[in-house]
Amino acid sequence: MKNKSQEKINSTMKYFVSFRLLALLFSFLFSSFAFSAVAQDVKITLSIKDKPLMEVLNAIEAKSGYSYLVRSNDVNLNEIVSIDAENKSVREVLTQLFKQSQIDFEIKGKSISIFKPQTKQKEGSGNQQIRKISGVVTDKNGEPIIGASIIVKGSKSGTITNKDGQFSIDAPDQSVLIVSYIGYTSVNVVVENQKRVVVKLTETLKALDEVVVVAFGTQTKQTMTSSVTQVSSKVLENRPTTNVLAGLQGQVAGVNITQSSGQPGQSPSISIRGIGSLNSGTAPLVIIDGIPGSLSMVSADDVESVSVLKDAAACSMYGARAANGVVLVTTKKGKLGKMSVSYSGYVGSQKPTELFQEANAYNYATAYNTAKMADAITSTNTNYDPTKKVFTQAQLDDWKSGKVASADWRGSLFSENGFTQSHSVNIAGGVSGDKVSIKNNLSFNYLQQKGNVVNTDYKRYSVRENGEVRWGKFTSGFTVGLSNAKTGAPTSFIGDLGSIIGAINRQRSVDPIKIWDDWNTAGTKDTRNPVRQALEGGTSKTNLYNALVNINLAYEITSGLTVKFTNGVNYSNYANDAFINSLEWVTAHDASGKATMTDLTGPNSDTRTTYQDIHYLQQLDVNYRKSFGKHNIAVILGGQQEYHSYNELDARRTNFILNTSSSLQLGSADGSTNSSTFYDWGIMGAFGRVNYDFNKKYLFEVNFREDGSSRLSPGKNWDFFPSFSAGWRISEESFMETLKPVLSEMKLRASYGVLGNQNIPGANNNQYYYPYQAIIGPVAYTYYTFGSNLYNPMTITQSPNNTFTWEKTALTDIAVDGNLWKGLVSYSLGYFNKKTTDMLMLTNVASVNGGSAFVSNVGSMRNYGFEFELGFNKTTSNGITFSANGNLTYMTNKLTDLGGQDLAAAGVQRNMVGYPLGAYYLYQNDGLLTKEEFQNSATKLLKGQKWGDQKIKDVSGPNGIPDGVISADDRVNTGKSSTPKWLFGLNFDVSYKGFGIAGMLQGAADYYKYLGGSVGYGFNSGYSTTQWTIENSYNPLVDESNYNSRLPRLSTTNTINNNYPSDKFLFNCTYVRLKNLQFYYNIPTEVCGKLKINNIKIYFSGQNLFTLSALPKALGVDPEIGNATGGYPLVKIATLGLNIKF
Amino acid sequence: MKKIIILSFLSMFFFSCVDLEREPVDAYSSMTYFVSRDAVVSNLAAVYQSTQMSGFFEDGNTIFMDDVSDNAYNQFPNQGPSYMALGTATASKKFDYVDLYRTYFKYAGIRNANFFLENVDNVKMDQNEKDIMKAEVRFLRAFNYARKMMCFGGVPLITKVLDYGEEKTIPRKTEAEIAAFVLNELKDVVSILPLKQDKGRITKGAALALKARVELFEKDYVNAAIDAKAVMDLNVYDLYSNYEHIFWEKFQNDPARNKEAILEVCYNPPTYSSTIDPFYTNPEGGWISLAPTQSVVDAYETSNGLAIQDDPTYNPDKPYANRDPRFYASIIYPGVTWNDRIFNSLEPVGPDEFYNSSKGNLSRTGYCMRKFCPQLVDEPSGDPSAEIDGVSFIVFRYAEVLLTYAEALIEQNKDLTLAAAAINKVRTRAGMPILTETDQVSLRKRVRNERRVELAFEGLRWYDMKRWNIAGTVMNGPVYGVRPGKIDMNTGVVTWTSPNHITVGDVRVFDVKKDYYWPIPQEDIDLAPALTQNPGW
Repeated sequence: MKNKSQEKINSTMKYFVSFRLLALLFSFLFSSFAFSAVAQDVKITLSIKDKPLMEVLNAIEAKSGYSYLVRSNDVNLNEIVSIDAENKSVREVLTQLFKQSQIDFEIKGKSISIFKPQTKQKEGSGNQQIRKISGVVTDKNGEPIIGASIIVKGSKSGTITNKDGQFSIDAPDQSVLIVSYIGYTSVNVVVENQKRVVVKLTETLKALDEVVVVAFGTQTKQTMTSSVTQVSSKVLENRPTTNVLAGLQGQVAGVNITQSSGQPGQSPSISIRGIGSLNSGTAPLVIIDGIPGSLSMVSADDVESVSVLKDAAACSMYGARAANGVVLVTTKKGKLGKMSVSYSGYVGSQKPTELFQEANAYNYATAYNTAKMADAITSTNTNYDPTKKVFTQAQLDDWKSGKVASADWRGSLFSENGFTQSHSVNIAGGVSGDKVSIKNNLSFNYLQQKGNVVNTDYKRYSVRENGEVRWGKFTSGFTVGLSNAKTGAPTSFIGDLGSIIGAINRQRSVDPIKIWDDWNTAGTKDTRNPVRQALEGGTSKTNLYNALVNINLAYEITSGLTVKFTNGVNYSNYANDAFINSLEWVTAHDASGKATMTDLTGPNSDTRTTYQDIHYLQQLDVNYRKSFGKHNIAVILGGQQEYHSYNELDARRTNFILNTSSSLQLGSADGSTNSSTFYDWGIMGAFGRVNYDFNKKYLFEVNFREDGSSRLSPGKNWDFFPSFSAGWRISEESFMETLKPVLSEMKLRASYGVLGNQNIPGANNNQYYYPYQAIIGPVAYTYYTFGSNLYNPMTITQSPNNTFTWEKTALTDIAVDGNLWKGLVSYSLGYFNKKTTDMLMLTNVASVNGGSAFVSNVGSMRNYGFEFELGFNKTTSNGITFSANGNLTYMTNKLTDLGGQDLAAAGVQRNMVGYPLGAYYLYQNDGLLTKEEFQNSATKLLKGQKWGDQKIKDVSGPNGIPDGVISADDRVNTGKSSTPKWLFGLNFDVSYKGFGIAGMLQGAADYYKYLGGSVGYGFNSGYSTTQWTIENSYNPLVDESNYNSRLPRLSTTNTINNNYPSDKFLFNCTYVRLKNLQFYYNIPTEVCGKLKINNIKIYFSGQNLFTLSALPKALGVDPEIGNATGGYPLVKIATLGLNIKF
Repeated sequence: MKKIIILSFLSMFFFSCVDLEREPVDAYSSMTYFVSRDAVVSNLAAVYQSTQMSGFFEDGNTIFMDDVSDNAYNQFPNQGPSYMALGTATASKKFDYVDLYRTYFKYAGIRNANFFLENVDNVKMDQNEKDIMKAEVRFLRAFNYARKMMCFGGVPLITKVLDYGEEKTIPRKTEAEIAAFVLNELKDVVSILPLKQDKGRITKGAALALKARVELFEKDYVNAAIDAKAVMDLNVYDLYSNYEHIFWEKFQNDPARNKEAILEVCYNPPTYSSTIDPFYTNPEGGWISLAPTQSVVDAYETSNGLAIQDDPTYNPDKPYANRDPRFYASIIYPGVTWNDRIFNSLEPVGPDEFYNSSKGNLSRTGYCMRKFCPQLVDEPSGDPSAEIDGVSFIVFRYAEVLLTYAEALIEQNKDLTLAAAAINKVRTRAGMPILTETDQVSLRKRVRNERRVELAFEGLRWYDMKRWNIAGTVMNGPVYGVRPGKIDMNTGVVTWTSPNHITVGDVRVFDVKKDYYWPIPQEDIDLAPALTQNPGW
């Protein structure tokens, strides 16, 4: 038998060899391209006899790639000429051509101007005076437009703008100059007395012919039949964010992006069209320049566009990985033209949006005393017993008068000045020669964020190189993104920063942070002093290197038929070093002030984690595009294979002599631990798409992918994912002709398709990656002894599971989109229905099998909703530009089948058929117990229940009918969940004469958080509580008869509140937030020009400035935050930014 | 076909294809594992481990079986034995700890044994050694089935590794069929197994001892006697001179002590430790998951060799004086000096051991178990609460074989002298007078009590109650503990304040129509419809 592992090594080696060969080939190609590009002088050979001048010029244009313009109207293009030149430069050819004539020429860059030399006009001769007019053409941001054409109306003379957008032309007085550029609305300028004109072109409403990046190619928005929202770099530029995903928040209908933490370096989470699975991964597939990658490693400054692929038609070419949607990121490429250097950067300061508003010491102590007295009440003694008070009047007086300060634990933790800065330099350009052109874009980025908690920071350095070389029919592309992210955060013996913030929640304002000038150890035994923990407890440092490389080569076989080979790799190297310090604590002081030191927090330790994550991709595709009369067809066919491996190593030692040592060998070998994790998988697929349209009116598209994965059982691991879509541009029909001025564009489209989700859930990697294998592994935590020898028992830990396949998601999408009033308003309204079937769940197995629960396809769920997008864009005659675009989404989900399994409640949430995923499962509050009820012997009291406590509705019993007993059966699924049903976003931008205001509002509605201890009720195990809680709780000392308070009475034991979590503590978190507001100023081109700068923009921007929320403001809980009391709040950021382009 | 077309399309262009049939890289698969002797030994260790022969907490739980008998009381409502003893357990009830149904009905050990047997032949190694290992695994599988049979009656007989879903259609065999399977397997392996092996591994003697135990349970007295005698005739086993020291970690390397241990589960602290703290006294960090009852205290004879009710010298007010030495070796009682203090479970003084304290983790009967729990000076780790002890659990001990032999002969009513001699061997070692009775009825009574006290807290009482059909009597009614009283904390002298013993917990109920057979866990019946429930559940 041939050794299988040897075979594998061979094939892996082959892979590497081929990869390296290819890289070598490309570097060779690059150097040769670069060489030929330097030889700019194009030589042409031409032999034409007795033809009109125009034809000769056309021939020169075709052969040289130069374009010509006839500048003055007295050049006779029909003059018969001859030319015979062999291997001559353009200049030589033209000189020869015009040798006999009066015509002169000028070569600037790639354009040839032809004119008759000015015969000095005599003063006053003729009716019209010829003026020399110079000027500049820019876009609305003042960026110069290169190659805009300026034509004198009614004549043949004209010119084009140079690389700086400058032009100069001779034109008769009172004539009209037509300034135009593709994609922009033409502008007419009347020649009067001016010598210099500044022309600003505004983009034509591009909604229709906008090019949208889709799976493996591009399409025009006009004829697209799938659901894709593209966000351009402009949107990202308007919002200085530290993460591309954060910049996308609120921009795309149907996409929920949640920033649940403001900790530096934390990425938001994203879901497209709802959460489609109970157990499997729900994150979309992210593709960066064709290679799967991570959004957090790409600088927003490098992004050209982001396409969010939402429906099956858009996604099905990604087959088994597309069920959660796909995000395609395209980075900036170089453009032909002069090299441009640009800088963009900002500096900003940040502070938390909200800090949990804890009650001050006086209020806390007063409420605590009241609660203590109330807790002591019994049915026989209903009087408040003042001896139960814990805090004395003297203490209260001191706090009230300010003699003793109230401790602000949370404020102390979040006391640092937060700081953010980002700097990017981009060098882009392109040159073209006879048959070769090179475009290149190189950028450097630096991002730094320093958090509001000590020791929290994030730094990212990145370099990106995008090159493209065209050489005849070959085009090769080369993309390299290198980045290095460093994250720092405190850690401590109680855990990471999350645990430290959680521990803050247990500190009370009545306990000082320091006593005897030393750290107070007031915190309960398991938390100690979290302020000190953050400061001195240790640090966790993460260093992540990422390289994303894409090398591709395309060949145009014939016109419209291209074949392309892509080879890519995404490599990450992660290292984390978490050192937990040992700390000495002052636990007592004697009369002389001598301190007793105690180590309360255990030995120090260092934990190191490193991993390498590698993803290879190879792809071959064939593209064909052709029009036959009114029939247009586009086809892409391709194959792809990918290989992924993950290799992690963990090690830990304890008992270092010093806290400063973080090299493992400095710690004690005793009790050191180490472990590793290694898995790999491969996927292989063939994909295709056929587009057909008739006259761009009736549109059809078919997509498919056949995917094979190593994650499923051989023989069952190939599957087919098709999708179909069609569109009808009603507005192109003749019967719509009369409506055209208003309803300029209207397209109906629909799609249906099936996608897969290969992110199989599992308790361990092997179950996840090799379910079809019997896995032999160690029996967890146990050994066995024969004689005196210890053995590590190894046995079958996972039976082969050939029973399951990947989850399937069927998506139906219906939409109407288009624009009104010739693009003044664009709109899109869509409905989607996403059904996940064959949902993967753990299925129990009878003991008799001997194995443990296994993964199988059982459940199903459904996400459906509406998406609405509206855009408005107008420039008034007096130069005010106004644009706004908004989106609104309603979506909801429902579990439709759990395979008959009755899933237990997880805390206050439970997954049940007929209810949304993770819906809250709670007791029903039935008001507050009154004193009369308490004293009435007929009332069945819950254990520990006093008046002012909540009453619980008896809604059911073991047999489904109310049984007079409050038990777990009385919990009810509220149908409310923490996933918003409504999402909305609104961007606006108003500018005038370079000044502008841009902003973004974002919101979510109909979602809830269960806020129990510290918020809904206080003093939970001695925890802190908010002032709002104290004020809104039933307080017998204030008004004994007021049983209508928002919250039940405060209690130091909280038995009823803890034991019967009810809907009383469910808080609606609906919010609208001003995510971003920016004031900007584009320095006028005139000023820039003098500084030899193309464009300068300065801006002042604020993020998360203002929030309206259904949550009581006084709680200090950010509606977006993941963990209300123990999370890192979001931050408000004020930034000052500068963009310069040379 | 589809796949082939795509693969050939891809391979035309790619230099090599990604292999979609991958082997796990951080675990072994059955394809790659069975290549060396070391792998086989490691897998063998796993079969041993998962057979759960040990007695300790969540590691076989054998000692806890006595909580389901008249020997002991379990106070914890999250531990299965407390419900099982009360008669309030149901097939659906799940316990957080010591869930004996799910520990003993579980087939993980059997699957591991089957897996071993299905794969071991792939390995090239010494054939003789391989045959012995296979015999060991067959023994372990037989042990597992024997325990299932003794608790549940007939169960599904699985002799291969099942695919998911295969178990759904496999019905239970009868009790007799399982017993026959077990005995046949043991008969086969006895001839293969060696006389001596590394401590902890199965020997010929262990196989014979299990065979005798099962035969006795099945009331096949003829073969039980033959197999017990066969163990005796191996001439490798003998009783250890000191009864108490058999159960101490300190003496585990004494060759004389090891002659008594036919099979034991060994530990290797601190990496692999036995969990003894559930049984230790509270001030030592223990939490009393097993409290001896008054019933077992009364079962110990007086030092005159008579039952307390038969001995006129027995003074009910000095109940702990002049008793069977095994009483002092097995039970901590009020007034005894224990770890340099006077054990006082009658009053709320000193280290809080008071039976009526509101504190948990204390003996509710007023007695604690001393077997397996030496005083701290004799406990190598010195800290039972740290779970770093290495005390073995003896699965078969020579004394049991002798008593099995005696009982089997007595029940056949033949060779009663040999039977008495076997009992007397056990009694003599314990320091008890020899028996004078010669008739079957008297000897039957004697051997049954001898078994109870000799093997107390070793997890065999429940099977004995079942065999003798006495649970209806001994498991119905209240559980008694000490009498209320006072202790002179200088002398340890007890003064009783009440003639009546305290009762502990709820009244036990035992339904003889159903409780001798434990219920098959309902969740398994729900998942595998071919399983049928035991009568009455």
